[in-house]
Amino acid sequence: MDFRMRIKKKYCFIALLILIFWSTSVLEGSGRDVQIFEQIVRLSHLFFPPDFSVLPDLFNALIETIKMATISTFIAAIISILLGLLASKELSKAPLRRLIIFLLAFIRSVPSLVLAVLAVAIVGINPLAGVIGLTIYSIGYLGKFFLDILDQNDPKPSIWLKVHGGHPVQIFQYVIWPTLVSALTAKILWMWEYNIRSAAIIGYVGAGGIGLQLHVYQEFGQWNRFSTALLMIFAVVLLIEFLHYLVKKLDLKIRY
Amino acid sequence: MKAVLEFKNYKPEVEGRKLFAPLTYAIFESDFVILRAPSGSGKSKVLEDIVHKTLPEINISSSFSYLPQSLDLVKDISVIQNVQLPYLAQKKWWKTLWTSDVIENERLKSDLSLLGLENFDQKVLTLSGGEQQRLALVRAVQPHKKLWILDEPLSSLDQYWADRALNYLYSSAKKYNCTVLCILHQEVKIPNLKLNTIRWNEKWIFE
Repeated sequence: MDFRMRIKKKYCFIALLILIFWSTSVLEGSGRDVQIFEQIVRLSHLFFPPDFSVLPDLFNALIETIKMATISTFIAAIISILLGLLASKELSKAPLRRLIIFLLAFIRSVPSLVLAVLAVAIVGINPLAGVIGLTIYSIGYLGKFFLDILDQNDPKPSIWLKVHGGHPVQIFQYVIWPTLVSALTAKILWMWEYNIRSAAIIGYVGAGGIGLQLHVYQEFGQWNRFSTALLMIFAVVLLIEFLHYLVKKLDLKIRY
Repeated sequence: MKAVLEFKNYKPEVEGRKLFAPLTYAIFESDFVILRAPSGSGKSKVLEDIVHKTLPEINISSSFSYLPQSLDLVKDISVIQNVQLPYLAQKKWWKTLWTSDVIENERLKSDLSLLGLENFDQKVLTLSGGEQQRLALVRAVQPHKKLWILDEPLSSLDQYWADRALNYLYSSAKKYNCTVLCILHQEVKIPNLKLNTIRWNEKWIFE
C-alpha cells in the first residue's frame, strides 16, 4: 500500500513537471527582441511624478465607483438570501435546489468583466452597466456562501423551539437569523470590498467609475495621471483594510 | 388521580432494535422521577420518544418543557434571550416581531443569578460547558409547563454546582407544583423529597 502510494506520488510529480515545461511556451512573448528592462524604466519615468491636478475628477469617479459597489452588493445580498433560502437543504425540494446551485455555479464561471461588457452592450457606457455586471457576479458568490451557511446551520435549536410551541416565524427570527447574521455580515463586507476593487477595473470596458478614467488616461498616454488613479485605488483598498480591522475589533469587544 | 405521563406497554427501540423490555408506568402530578440505566442503553431515546413522537403507548396529558443532552441553546444570542425563548413561543408570532420582552424577566434573572450566570447579556458561545448546562436548566424550568423532561441536567457540573443545580431544580418543582422526569447518573439524596426511581437492570425496577 505504502509502496504504491509512493509510486503514485512519483507519477504525479513527473506529470506536474511535464505540465510546467509544456506551459513555458507562453513566456516567449511576441518573439521580437524587446528591451523589457528599458521599457519598464521608460514607463516608470512617465508615471512619476503623479499628476495631482486631476484629483477632483478622480475623486468624483471614485465616489461613483464606491456607489456602484455598494448598490450592487446590497441588491446581490438580498437576492442571494432569497436564493439561499429557496435552495437550502431543509426548506427546499431537490430539483429547485439543484437548479439554483447550477445557476450560481454558472454565474461564477463568467468573469465580472465579461458580464460588464455584455451589460455595456445592452445599456450603453454608464455606471448602470457596471452595477448590472457586479450584481450578477456577486449573486454567484454570495448565493453560494449563504447556501453553505444555511446548510451547515445546526437544526436542533430550531427543533427545540418548535417542540415548545414556537411558530416558524419566531423560529426564523429568534433562532436561525441571529445565527446567520454574523456569518452573513462578514461575507457581505468581503463582497463589498471585492466589488470596490472590481468596480475600479470594470470601468475599463465602459462601465463607469474610476476604471473609465484609467482607460481614458491610457488612451491619451497620460501616464502621470494614470499613476494618480492607481494611487487613489490603493488608498481606498487600504481604507477598507482599516475598516475591516475596526469591525473585527468591535466584534471581539461585543463577544468577550 | 390522573397521570401526567403514562407508559402503557411501551417498547423503546432504535431502527427495529429493542432497547428494553416493555415498560408500563404512570407518573403523577408533583412526582420527581429519576430514570436510571447503564450508559449507552438508550435512556435518551425514551425521552426523545416522549417529546418528538406521538406513540399510542405513551400518554401525555400535560404541556412539557424539555432539556436535551445536546442542550440545543442558540449560541449567537445572549444568556437572557435564550431563557426568554419559551415565553416568546407562548405568544402569537406577530406580537413578538418587534419586542422580545417577557413578563417572566425578573424571575428569570434571579434564577440565572442563583446558578452563577450573572452576565445576562453575554453571548452563549462564550460560556463554558458547565455554564451552558446551568443555563439550559434555567431554560427548562418553566412554571407554566407542568412536566419537565430533563436529560442528564447535571452531567458536566462539578460537585458544588451539581448540588446547587439539583437543589434549584427540586425547590422550583415544589414551588410551581411541577412534575419532573429526569435522567441522572449521580446518586442523589434530597431531604424531605420522595424520589421515584425507574431503574433498568436486566428488568425494570421501580423504587
